[in-house]
Amino acid sequence: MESEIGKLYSYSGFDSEFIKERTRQFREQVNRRIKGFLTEEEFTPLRLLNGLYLQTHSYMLRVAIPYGVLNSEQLTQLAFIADQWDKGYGHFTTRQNIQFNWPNLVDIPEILDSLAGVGMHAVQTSGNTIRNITSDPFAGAAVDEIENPLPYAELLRQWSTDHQEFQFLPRKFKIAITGSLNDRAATRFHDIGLRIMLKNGQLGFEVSVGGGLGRTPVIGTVIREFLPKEDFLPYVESVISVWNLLGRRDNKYKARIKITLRELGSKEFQALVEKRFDEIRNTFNGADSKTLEDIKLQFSSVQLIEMPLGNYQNRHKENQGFRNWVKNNVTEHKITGYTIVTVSLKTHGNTPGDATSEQMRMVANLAKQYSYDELRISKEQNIVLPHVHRSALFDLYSMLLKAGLASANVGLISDIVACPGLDYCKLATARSIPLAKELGVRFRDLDLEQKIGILKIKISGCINACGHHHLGHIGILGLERAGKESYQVVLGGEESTETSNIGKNLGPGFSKTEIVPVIEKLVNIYLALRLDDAETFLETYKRVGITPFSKEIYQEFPRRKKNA
Amino acid sequence: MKSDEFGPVVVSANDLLTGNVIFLTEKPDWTTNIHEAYVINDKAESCRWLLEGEVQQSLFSDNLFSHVVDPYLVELKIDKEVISFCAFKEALRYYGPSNYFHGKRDWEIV
Repeated sequence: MESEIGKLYSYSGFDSEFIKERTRQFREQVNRRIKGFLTEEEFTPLRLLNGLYLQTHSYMLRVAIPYGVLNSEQLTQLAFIADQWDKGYGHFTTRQNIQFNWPNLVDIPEILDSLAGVGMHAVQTSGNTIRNITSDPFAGAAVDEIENPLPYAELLRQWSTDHQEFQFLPRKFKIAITGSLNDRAATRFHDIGLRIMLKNGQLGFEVSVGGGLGRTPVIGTVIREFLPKEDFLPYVESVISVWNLLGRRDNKYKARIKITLRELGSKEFQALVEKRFDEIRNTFNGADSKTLEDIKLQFSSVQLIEMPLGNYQNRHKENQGFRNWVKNNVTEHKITGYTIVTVSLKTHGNTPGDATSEQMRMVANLAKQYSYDELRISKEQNIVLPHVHRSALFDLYSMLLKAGLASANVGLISDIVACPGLDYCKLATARSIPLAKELGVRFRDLDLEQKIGILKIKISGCINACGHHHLGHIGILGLERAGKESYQVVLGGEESTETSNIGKNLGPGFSKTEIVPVIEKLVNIYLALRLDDAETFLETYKRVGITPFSKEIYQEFPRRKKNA
Repeated sequence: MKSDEFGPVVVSANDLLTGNVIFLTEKPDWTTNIHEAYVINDKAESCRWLLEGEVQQSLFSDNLFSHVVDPYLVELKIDKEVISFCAFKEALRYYGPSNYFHGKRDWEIV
């Protein structure tokens, strides 16, 4: 028996020409900057439109991975770029992109050419534009999926790339889309969140607006409970069009759509969107639906072949390490016999989300061999192989083990999400990475990880919250106090659609030397409070509230309360 | 530093081509070595040297082009000729990231 699934989108000649032309333009802009015909003030918006930042130590190039999907050729090319023009590694981000931390300015056009060769680019990974569309890393494979969201994500990508009306928005704009009941794309925390719904046999979208993290964390407001799928694109355009006119351009901290929604009121905003939607709906003339159908055809399909399980069961029975890995890193696939494998980039003591060029090449080969040449990047900064037959799991595990990529910790305390923090980012106020590394090693050494169970730690190095600390079961926010690093702790954040919550502040912050013992203490409080081994940290927190945690913490770290 | 005291400070910027951290020397020229930077202890003088850095940023001709981006003043502590940075952020900027030793200089995690 064979089962067909939609696979990678094949780019058209138009896409290739567009990317090549953008690269050619940027090469000229770089040359003009180096020769002094452009000032830094003139050059900055141009480089930002092409994903190039000037960071703490060097330039940083952020490369788009549209909706987090890659093939092995693309990942291999990223490895080549890491070796050729960087320091042999790349950093996968919480927005499913990859960042190179050390390129030289003169090399950027070469890198962009190299990316264009495999259908990749860095367009709109920065600046006040519509950024990379993010989606469910299990899309097309998830058991609970209503419909594959990737063709819709691709339609959004095509529509938003170089969209003339939306190149100079009040601020950046982020869209996430999911087709599953379990929201692995955190849609409620995006400027627009789209969830595919089924109502009376009809497909459509729930549309939420104004979600986001940063200095003002907000859960998105649903402004359309069910939008027929054929209205999807004109409605999204209406939302952005309304905000583009109303959004505050006088104050960058008040420019995001969540602030517009708060100042105007969601009902009024919704009414304006509906009015705009009525105006523009017919101008699409069905062209968007036609393009969507074309896109669906360009998502090549693949036959997943039914196979025997081979020696899977024996290996599973005999090998404890393999058993742990399957338990934590392997998820059921919608096709019987197949699985979704999450390759952890959180080896204890390593930098979260970093992969060396060697590791990239190896995972690319594994994807080719075992996952129908397809990979995904998750917002948890891991790599997903979406279509792996169960019979191949042990061989895959063995090869990952050799590459140092078989950490069986997905969803556990060492699967820490962390932004680059002060180590690399110009905006950051404290380091995230050393903290993540130290916590990973600490809980490995304590041998508590499996006992603790599901516990998500997320660390941001500043209030901009790229490490999504508001959504961590334990969230850590790095700040600067009198020239030194200081860390605040929030508890109880979660990002699933039905129970989205923004973490609650535990109380006064902690010094760099205190923060790891504080987290260890929080975990010990949880272990003492939980009803049984099955009760997760989040469940315990919801049952008992924040007080038992804060009371014990500040008994042990009393000076912090006084100095707050 | 008391409010009526000033310095020591240096002028720092990023190199246009590599993004590397650089400091203004007495010559004036730019260096990646803090020990070669011109240390300023007077407020009026610091304004003049910052202006010098900014002028260098916009010096363009057929043969001479800018290698400097966004100069600003960085506060130092100097104790018995040992230079350190007042802000942790500036120290990290100078020594390189703490997670890899392929940064600009060896770095001991603080």
